[in-house]
Amino acid sequence: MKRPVIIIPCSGIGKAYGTICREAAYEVVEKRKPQISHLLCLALLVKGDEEAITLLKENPAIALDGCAKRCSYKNIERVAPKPPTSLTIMNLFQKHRDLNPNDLNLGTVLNLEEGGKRLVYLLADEICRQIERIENQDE
Amino acid sequence: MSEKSSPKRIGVIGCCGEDLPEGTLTRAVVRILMEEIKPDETATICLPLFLAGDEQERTFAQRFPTLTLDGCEKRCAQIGTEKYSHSVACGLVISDILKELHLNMKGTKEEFDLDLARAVAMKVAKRMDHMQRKRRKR
Repeated sequence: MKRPVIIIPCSGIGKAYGTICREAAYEVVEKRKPQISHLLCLALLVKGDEEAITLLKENPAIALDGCAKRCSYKNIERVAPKPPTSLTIMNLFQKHRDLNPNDLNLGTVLNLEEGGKRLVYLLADEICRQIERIENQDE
Repeated sequence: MSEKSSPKRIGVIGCCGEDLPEGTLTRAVVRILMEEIKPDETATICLPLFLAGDEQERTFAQRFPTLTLDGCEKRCAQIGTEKYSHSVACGLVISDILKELHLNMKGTKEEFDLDLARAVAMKVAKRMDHMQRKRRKR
């Protein structure tokens, strides 16, 4: 049986980028790769939840971060034997040079608009690519 | 982090748990407090910054009397804040608030119910008022 890939978004509460990470995680875990991906609350790692830590010790993880503080990556890195695959919104802008953050109507933390939703789908595409890469490595 | 320095402010930290609808609700409640109900009295911080951030971030609950809002009985926001920042003045859990309000949980992980979020935010605002009154008495 294939190991699930643990997806942990930062869910940053100060900017729409945190919401974009959160919604991209839902897009993948609920719709695109429900059999192979598993969502985990980042807050569990702050608490030091044993079950969550065991899950990260046994399975590969992808950290989704909305800002340079990289909360998800750093919290996973502290407890997992291997650093997680890191995806950030900044990487997304580097990869898609046609996207200008100043021109996109992202919306707000509670309500993403068209530009924010576009980033959700692009980030979800990238998460799926990384899941497939991890699956291939595992085979 | 959203934090404006003011002696009036109360720190409100939601667990924002991704894996349960109540986590999504905590996130909405914190934003509603910041944007609509108590914009001049609310300070917040992303919970994982206590570990990923610096000393300034870890002193958050020392600088602001802090209320935590958790989506489940694991109380990650309360325990995480107390472990890495400071003891909290008030630790609330969504299920207890809903019980007090005689309301049922609504919404999903992906989408919160706005009316319910506003009702919970009003209840949390009352606790913030109580904390402010206690603060003034000192």
